[in-house]
Amino acid sequence: MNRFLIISSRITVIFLLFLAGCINLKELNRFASNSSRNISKFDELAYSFRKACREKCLIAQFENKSLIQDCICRDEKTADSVLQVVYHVTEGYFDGLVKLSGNDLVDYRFNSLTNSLKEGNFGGLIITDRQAKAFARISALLSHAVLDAYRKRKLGEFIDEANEPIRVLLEAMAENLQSNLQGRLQTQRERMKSYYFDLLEDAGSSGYEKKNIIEEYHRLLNEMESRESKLNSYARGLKAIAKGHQEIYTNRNRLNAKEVRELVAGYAEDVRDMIDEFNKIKTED
Amino acid sequence: MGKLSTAQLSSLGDSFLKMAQSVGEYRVENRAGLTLKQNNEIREIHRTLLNYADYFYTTSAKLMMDDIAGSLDRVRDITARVKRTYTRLKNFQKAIDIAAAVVRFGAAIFSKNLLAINEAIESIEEETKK
Repeated sequence: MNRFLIISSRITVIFLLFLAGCINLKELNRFASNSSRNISKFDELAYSFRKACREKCLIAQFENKSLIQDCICRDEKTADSVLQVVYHVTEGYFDGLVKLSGNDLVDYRFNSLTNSLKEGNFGGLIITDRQAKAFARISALLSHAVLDAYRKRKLGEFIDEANEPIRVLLEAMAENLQSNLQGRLQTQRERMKSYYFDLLEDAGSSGYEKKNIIEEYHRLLNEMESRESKLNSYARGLKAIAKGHQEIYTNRNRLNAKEVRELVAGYAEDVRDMIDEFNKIKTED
Repeated sequence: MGKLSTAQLSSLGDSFLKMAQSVGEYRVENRAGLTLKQNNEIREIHRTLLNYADYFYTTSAKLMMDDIAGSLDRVRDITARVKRTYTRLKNFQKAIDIAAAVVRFGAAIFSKNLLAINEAIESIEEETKK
């Protein structure tokens, strides 16, 4: 009877440990994965402060009808480096979350141990086939339960600590793109408009040349609009990620609750929609 | 005067852009009534205003680093810890495989089979190399 009680209590402990570790991180993993994918779209923006500077110099060359033009883009290079740093740091963080919340991380394979612990007589120790298999099964169950619980606790800690700074970074980057880089795009559009106006006004231009000028102007205008759409779409994506992270942080202690899982899944979808929207924007770059 | 914030600099950029747009519009709409000299002067003002706007936007972007330096350090530190935790959990699989190789080695010693002992030693070497 005593032996039965001991065995029963051990099974109960194992079962409870298993339940504690049985945490569904699917939605969190999807959110982190979509966020990482969205942030990595930075490389496809096809516009930067340096590019704005170089294009400004090009317009100046056109206006002066000269190849000689002092084109100093030092400040723009620094401005781009700020964006680059934020991009790499935020992408690295979400990439880490993807790995740590991955389903396969704590699915350890005990086959090697089962194969090693075959039925046999090891000196004074006799191991039956049933015992060897039971040992491997219990090891798998326990390690999964304990390590999954450990990983869940660590994820909670990381999300807790990262929430404020990651939001600061994502929102600052979105603001920088929407205010400053977008601003540079607007000034460039204004320069282009002025240049093409003068070109069209040139008394020497024939009707055919004027047609070509108008066509080229509209082609460049469309290109700028695409860039603008990409910047806006990307920045909105960053804001959606920040908002989603905030919700995960608020509910970090009940990630298993159905409504929280649905909420996180909703943010993961929002971020994915932003990726789709971004991908639909065509650019000629 | 105190240092301008990044938001204030962006806002100044917007103001100069709007002024430039108004000047540009004026030049386009009134081109017929402007002398060549007037047109050139207004165009120069237009360019100067756009350059000011560019300056404010770019400076705001550069100075953003001051606002976010602390957050960057914190996220960098957390990411390093996330990766360490990941590696630690990943290494658990390695530990299982090494333990299995050691068990095989023990069994081979008990069996007193020289060939099995050699194979088990090789197996441990392979697992610890991974």
